[in-house]
Amino acid sequence: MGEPGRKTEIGSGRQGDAEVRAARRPASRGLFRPVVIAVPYLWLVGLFLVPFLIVIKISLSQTAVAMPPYRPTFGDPSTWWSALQQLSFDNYLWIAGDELYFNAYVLSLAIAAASTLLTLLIAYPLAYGMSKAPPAWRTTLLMLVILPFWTSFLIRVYAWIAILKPEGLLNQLLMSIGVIHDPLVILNTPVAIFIGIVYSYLPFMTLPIYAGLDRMDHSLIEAAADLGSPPLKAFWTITFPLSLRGVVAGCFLVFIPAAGEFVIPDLLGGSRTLMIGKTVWLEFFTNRDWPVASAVAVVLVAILVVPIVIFQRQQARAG
Amino acid sequence: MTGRISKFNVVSLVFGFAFLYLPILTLVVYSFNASKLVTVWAGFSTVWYRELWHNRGLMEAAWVTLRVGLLSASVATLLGTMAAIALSRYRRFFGRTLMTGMVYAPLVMPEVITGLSLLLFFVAIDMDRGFWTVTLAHISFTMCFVTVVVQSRLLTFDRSLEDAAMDLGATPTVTLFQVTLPLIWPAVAAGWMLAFTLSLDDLVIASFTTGPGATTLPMKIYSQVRLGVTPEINAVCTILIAIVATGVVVTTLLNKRRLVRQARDERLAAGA
Amino acid sequence: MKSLGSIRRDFAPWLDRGAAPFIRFEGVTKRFGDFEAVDDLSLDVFEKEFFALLGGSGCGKSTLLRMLAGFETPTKGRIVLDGEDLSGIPPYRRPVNMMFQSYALFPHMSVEKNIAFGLRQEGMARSEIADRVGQVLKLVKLEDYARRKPDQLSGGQRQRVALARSLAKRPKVLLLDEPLGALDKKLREETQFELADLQHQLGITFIMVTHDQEEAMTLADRIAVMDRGRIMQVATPAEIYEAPNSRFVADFVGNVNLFEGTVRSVEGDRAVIETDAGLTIAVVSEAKLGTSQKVSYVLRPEKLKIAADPIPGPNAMAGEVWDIAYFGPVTAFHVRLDNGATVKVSMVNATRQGALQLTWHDRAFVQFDEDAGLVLTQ
Repeated sequence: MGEPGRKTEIGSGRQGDAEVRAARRPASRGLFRPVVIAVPYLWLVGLFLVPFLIVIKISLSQTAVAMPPYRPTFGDPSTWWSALQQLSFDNYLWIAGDELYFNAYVLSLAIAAASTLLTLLIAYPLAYGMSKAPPAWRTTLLMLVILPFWTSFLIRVYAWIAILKPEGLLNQLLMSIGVIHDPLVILNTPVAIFIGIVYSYLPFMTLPIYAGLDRMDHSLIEAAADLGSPPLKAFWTITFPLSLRGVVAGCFLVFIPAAGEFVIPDLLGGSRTLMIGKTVWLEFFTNRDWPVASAVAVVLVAILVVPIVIFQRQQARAG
Repeated sequence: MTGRISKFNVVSLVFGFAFLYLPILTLVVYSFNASKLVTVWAGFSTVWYRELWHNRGLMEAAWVTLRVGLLSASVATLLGTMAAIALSRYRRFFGRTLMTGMVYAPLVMPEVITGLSLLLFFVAIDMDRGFWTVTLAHISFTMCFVTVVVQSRLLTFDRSLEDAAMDLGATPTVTLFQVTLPLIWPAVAAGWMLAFTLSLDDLVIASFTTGPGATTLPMKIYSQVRLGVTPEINAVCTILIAIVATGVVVTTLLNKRRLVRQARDERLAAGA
Repeated sequence: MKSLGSIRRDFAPWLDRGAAPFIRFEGVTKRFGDFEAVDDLSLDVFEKEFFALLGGSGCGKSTLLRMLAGFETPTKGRIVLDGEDLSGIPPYRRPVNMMFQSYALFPHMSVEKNIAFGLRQEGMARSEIADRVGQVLKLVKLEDYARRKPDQLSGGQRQRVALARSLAKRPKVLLLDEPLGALDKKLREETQFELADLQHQLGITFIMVTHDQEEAMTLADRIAVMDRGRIMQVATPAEIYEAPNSRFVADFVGNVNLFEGTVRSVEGDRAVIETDAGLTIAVVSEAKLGTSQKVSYVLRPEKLKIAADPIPGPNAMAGEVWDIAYFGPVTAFHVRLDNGATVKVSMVNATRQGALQLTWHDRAFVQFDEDAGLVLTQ
């Protein structure tokens, strides 16, 4: 390698003077690190944490016919102490005492749980089919699952109105082939909400399950078969347990947002199915009762904190 | 693997994809319906697209949405990438746990709550609601998605490349700009696209934080949908779907071409 | 103990009491939480030396290298390079460069950009950079590949680019982390010689980390065998192999027969050892032995002779062929001796057919000289 003539040029060469000087210079404490941390940090504190603290504060305030429609306000520092004394848990007692809110919470959690299960029942075979498809198809299939996720949520929910309404496409189809004679009432019922949630959140369930199945070593199944396990049994004893992590992740990804969903129950569920997301919306926009809307929101967060924390623990452990 | 696919799998794929695509397909088909009634087919027509062009309210809302989307996605990408770098590269700083929580919480926070809290904040600081409040709100909730996308790329990033750069005399800042960022830009770009789409799509947060003169397209669609299904809305939706589908398909194809090129390079290298 | 030769004749600064070490690790400890990766370790490396850190995974060898490069900070102790304490100096200001195990070539830069990267950080003039890049590319014989991207190169070429990149800055010390680990066997052998040549030519101090004893033996002037954060022995390859200072080193490097036993009688430098397995062995020992002392006896398989007929000489024993492994140049036998102990014997296949027609369960005779093995008193 190389010729002797080069020896002195490269071999005996030592670090340049500039570098020796550089080596003696203490590590510079650039502005870069503090800026990279502080800018997003302050943004999140200012536009996420502080607003949420304001929600908590307003949830402890009283409704007032004013702008903003609540008191007390912490405008003048000299009145802070008296303002502080006006804060109370009245709104929470109000929520606890009114069956309407209780029912809305229970209904939201029940609908979210049921539609999570339904989503799983559809997503698992889909993800499984994708993972067993010829490798050449898989990129395309994956893209086809992701594509609806990129298109507007609102549009996808809207598309179902035309299908589900009494004179809609589903009823037209079913009546024309003679399965039913009177149109089914689906729109504005919980069934429509289920369909909407399953449809909208299907990619959230399919992708983590597919990711788990795709990662799985196919030789495990071959090993199970080799050891005498028939395919169905191999599925339940090997494949399914190994895909559980994806299943759990998918369930959380569907359940948590579904519980606070507004658009789907509003457009598909009609006025009689009152979920909690819509309750917040109504309290705020229709009743203009900001303190109660805030209290309802705070309670919803308190309920969702449990699954959120479990989910993050699980993700942290897996990652 | 045999390359053959069982009947059960074919059925689940067909059923799953039919479920995913038929509703969108009917929406697209009926946007070309000549009839005003959305559910009765009366022949092919592009009349609703022409109508759309003259609907000033919709066009204005589309323009607002586009401006909010471009601006908020860009700022969110900047902030989100910074947060991702902070969380994945700086092991210890004051309040790191709080920051992690603030990045992840908005991802799962119901939109009504995010919207409500931001509105109450804007009221509390007495900020006039409109274009800027919607943009600020969108930056805040989309930046967390950018952080997650970029962070996951940074975590799988081969750290020895950064070590090598520093070993060769590059300061951490130089390393970031000359080695790390050039290599993770696809994730940053994906983060931008995600932020942009989320902003275009958002109804709830925009409804809370908007003010006079800043009606976004989803809000416009929502208010019309509540009055009933119209072919005009079908046409708007079809255009939006077409834009997004083109974007996703082009990105996927570009990615695929990159992979093919990479495979060819590797064959070349093996032969060399 | 007589000194066993180093690879390079007349190069043994570690024997010169007046020579100042180039790199000093002084009582260096590194803890990761509860785990002690490096434990109060002191080590001197001399200028122009090719030094190898050898050990299994998790023995602390890579941590030691990364501390020298500046990626890890010692929990205790300090590292001195050429008279300068390296504490607090970040990696990008240290006059050492590293060749990474994964090569860590920047995939978005061409070969020449990769090599120029470190020089650009110094603020070197463009023309000078171009010259230097040309020189090192010539050195590793990759002039024609300057404009290729790393993924357009073969594994061997990537390894040479990584080497060129770390040499371009003319570091005081070149650190090599498993430099040949990613290459296939044939390429590894070729590259070993190139690497050794290069080091002699350039006269740069090389410190290499490896788990491959063959690699350490062929390349290094001296080897430090490491285990659980400590150095077990620092010596030339020949010393490590022929005169290991402990059971660990003897067992770790090469194949070995290890016997535990007790000294039965001593007469000058001669002694008789009775092993726990019941063998009686006559030895010549450099170490001072006493009767009834507990010792270990280390005997390399190639130091034994094997035949189908009794062999005259000391330490002649008989047994049965228990196992045979044919490796091409050598054949390894496991012989179960009559008293139940098993010994490993390796025989060079000097002739094509293998004149020795020993096969499984044949009666076999083995013999070794009194100075064939080594008595360890530890």
